[in-house]
Amino acid sequence: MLTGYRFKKSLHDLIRGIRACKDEEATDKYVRSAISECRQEVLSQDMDVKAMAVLKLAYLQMFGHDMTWASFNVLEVMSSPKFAQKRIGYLAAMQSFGVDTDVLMLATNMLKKDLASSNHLDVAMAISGLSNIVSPSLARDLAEDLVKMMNHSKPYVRKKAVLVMYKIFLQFPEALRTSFPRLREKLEDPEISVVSATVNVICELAKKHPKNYLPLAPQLFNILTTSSNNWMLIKIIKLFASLGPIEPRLKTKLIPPITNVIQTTTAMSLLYECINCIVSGGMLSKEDEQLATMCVGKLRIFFEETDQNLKFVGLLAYNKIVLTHPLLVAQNADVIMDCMDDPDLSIRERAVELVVYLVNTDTLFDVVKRLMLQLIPQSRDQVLPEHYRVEVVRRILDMCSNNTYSNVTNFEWYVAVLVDLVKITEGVKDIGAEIGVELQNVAVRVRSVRDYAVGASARMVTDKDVMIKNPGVLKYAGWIAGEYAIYLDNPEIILDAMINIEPQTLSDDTAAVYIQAIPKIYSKYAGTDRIPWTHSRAQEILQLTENIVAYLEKYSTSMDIEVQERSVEFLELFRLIALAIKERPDDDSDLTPPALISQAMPSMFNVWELNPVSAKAQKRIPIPEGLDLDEEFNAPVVYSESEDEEEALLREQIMKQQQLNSGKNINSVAASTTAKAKSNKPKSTRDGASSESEDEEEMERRRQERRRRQAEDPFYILESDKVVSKSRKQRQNSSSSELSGPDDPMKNEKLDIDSIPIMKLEIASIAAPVTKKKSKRHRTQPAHVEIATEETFGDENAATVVHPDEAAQRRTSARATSHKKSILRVDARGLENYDLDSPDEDEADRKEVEKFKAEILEARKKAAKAAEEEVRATHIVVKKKKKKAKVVKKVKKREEKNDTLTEKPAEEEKTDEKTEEKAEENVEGQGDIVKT
Amino acid sequence: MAVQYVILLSRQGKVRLAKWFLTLSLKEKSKIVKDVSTLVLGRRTKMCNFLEYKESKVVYRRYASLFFIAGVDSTDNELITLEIIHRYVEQMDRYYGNVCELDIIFNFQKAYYILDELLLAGELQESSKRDVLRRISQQDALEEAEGDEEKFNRLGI
Repeated sequence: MLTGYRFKKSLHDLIRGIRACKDEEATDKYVRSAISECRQEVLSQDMDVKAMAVLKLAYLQMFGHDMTWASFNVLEVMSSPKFAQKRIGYLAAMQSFGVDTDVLMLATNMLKKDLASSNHLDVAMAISGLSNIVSPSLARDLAEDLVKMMNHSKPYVRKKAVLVMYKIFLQFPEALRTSFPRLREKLEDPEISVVSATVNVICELAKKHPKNYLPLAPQLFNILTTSSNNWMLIKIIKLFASLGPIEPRLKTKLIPPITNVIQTTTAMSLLYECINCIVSGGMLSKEDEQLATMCVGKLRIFFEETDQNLKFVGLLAYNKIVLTHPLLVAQNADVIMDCMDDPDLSIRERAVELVVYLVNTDTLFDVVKRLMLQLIPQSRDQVLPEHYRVEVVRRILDMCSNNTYSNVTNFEWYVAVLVDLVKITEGVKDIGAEIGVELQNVAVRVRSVRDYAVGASARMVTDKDVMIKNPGVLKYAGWIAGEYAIYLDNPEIILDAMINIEPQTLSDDTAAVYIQAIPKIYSKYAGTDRIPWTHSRAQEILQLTENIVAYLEKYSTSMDIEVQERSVEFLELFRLIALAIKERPDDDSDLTPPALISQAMPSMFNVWELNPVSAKAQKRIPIPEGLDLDEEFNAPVVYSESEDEEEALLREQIMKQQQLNSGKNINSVAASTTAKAKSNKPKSTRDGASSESEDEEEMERRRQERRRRQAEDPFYILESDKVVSKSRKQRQNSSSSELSGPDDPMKNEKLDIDSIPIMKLEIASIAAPVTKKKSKRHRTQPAHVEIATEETFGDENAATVVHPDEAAQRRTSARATSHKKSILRVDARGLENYDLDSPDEDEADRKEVEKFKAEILEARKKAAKAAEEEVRATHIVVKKKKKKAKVVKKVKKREEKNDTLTEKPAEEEKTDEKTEEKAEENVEGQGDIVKT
Repeated sequence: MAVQYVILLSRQGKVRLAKWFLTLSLKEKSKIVKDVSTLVLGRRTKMCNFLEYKESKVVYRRYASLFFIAGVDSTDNELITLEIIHRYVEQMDRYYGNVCELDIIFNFQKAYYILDELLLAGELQESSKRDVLRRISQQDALEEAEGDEEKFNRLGI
């Protein structure tokens, strides 16, 4: 060893010393003293001592001890002429240097020297070292040297140089342009390891910006069909997977050789890569039945082995194929289902993810049961990790709600599952809310199971356990209990439970829902006409009312604005109710409850039933034709001398409009301007308003005016049957996605009202019959369950089929997600946007500027010679100098001119320059200028 | 980027080697080592050798008392990564001759040198088993020659 004859601590001594330490404290002490020794040793004049110190520090660095303070000494050791020391220096540098290490600035020359060394081992070491420490400035300074190294006589150096180029590109993307031809040559290198290295680099590059590397496809294809090196084949296939999506024609070319590999190879890694390429390279469309069958069939082999790794990757691949070919994957449901109970959680997770797509009405019960059993802890020490439990719950919800519950045949069962899930997932953070959303969804959509869901919700609200262990669900359970209070068996118990909760135990948003639910339940309970309003009843209700008042008072000072607002509002109402009850006579003479309870309260909550509305419905409302928000609502007031004159003016206007409109039909939808509104008016007065008598017209006009005003007024409610009939018409109209067709006879009369968008939405969602989707009929003939679909506008079908991911996303939109940038992701933004096809603007521009400068200088010299034209010449030059920064893209044009320019004599040059200037200005006008 | 890092971990959770193909701060490195160690040590024998960590994949395999761990991109082929790990173990086995944990502890720099010949910038640079070892022995021979020379010089003085 190096330090055999010195009285310094060697690496062996250090390691032995550390191993001899009994506990952490002693180790720490020992290491600290060792580091302080090293601090002295790195300053030694003896290079051996210095190198050993650096090696020791590199060892300690591995355990997290900082050695950046020794960066300069590391550099010293790196520049040692001795290979042994240099090796240590490079090792330490690779371990400890970062892009921001300041001594790297000093390393450039040393690296250049090592790269130019006659000893290929030195060169190789410098390249290896550089791969780890390359910074943008190093990349810029050394790119050229490395490009030279790609043609080194030794393949050992060549392959390293090729590989390090990727690191250079990452730091200095411009190098790609200059070195790409050389890199391309390396695909034809006689040495397989160099070719392989080149494929590796291009594969990585193609992941960032595939378009640049399409021209290499023939060469790569050749390697694919001729090589037998599996390592390289995997990379080539991966590379084609990146190219596939941008060049669809590659598919037909690639499938035969890849199929061949799939059929013949014995290496599972290669087989897997091939299948992966077909799937993620966009080569598997819905029509490629045969190809998909082969892939799915081959993947099945992965499950027949005992190797867990193959199962895992097999599931990953199935997960990708299932998106296009669910039926084919479903044929292997047996092996996939087996993985659901695998002892390995990673495998289980993947399998469960996949099963979501494979369940059908027959298997759903069984699958959900198996998953629920997993969630129940077998014993105290065998509790599954929380993230897995959350995952399983989400998958259960996904597979049930998938495709508007098309797999669920028995909704009582589903509600029971949800209730059980709440129980099982006690203590799991946030999942309660997700289950709650599902429960709410079912309660709203599936009328037949509503009473059951309400019962379940009521039990949750009264259950103290739920409140402590899974409070997230209560917000939704509380809402259901309130909204569907009519189904409650014992509303007074629920009310009692709700108002006896201490304010601090509920989260604010749950409290807000409870405050809203309490009046709903109260109005159902107190406002019922089944129980006669006797004296005792009055006393009971009074007591309850006062309890609620007391409860609301607690919240009226809440810090949460929603809770405070709701509680204060209802507080006033309940105080009024209490007052109304007290004002009643004390005897049983009046058997009717106060109107506030029997009429006012119910009318607050029960006028219309809520229906699910698609989240996208609002977006689908078409913008009314002719709606211009910038236009004035009221035309500026015209001051006229007499009323008659105004009237005449108006009539004239109307006539004009009518003439205009007589040719085309008037169905401009929103009468957004007075002018347009008036244009509708004569139309509705049964054609040819001019023949009607003055009075009649005037009356009709006013009627129309009023109707329009009412329609526009969102607070004005029309009689209900009228609304219904209109809404029906509307549905007809809207279903043909036209508001009012040209040949619609109804349009003239009701045009105004129909065309008000705000009314339309209200009518459609309130009074229109709920469109119901029947669950599909299956062999088992399940009971018909009607599931209300989401209401939307326009294309109904688009909204009813909800993709599972979308549904899940909606459900979990509240879930906090942190999208922090992973530190493991390499920053390759430079490469992502680097297009080799586009001309190198920077480079071309720089050259242009240089050339231009030289020309100007020359021109100046010549101009100085020509004394009488001196003034003019310098003037031009100054002008040109200003333009210097702007360089025109059209390089060729310029070059032609420049060429002629140099040949021409001095006198002509000036005129030429002038024209050039003009040309430049022209181009500038086109916006074709690139600023350097 | 193919391989992001290679970590050798003893069964007790002690780091025996940590090679980074990404430039990270010491703090970030320590965090990853700690997280990945916990993940890997928590695995049982019958489980598969792949894990997910953040946006990357962790591929590991246990050889005797050591865990060999490689971090790869999420799009990379897990199976081939496993083969790279195996290749590395094979190389060390030949170089040290029946490699054991102690060999790697006391000659940690050699383990790095071998890895540097096998992988560069996270990519496999040599698929020939013989070639990697030939390079290492060339380097060792050069080192030795230098040492001998120095000894002669000292004796000469």
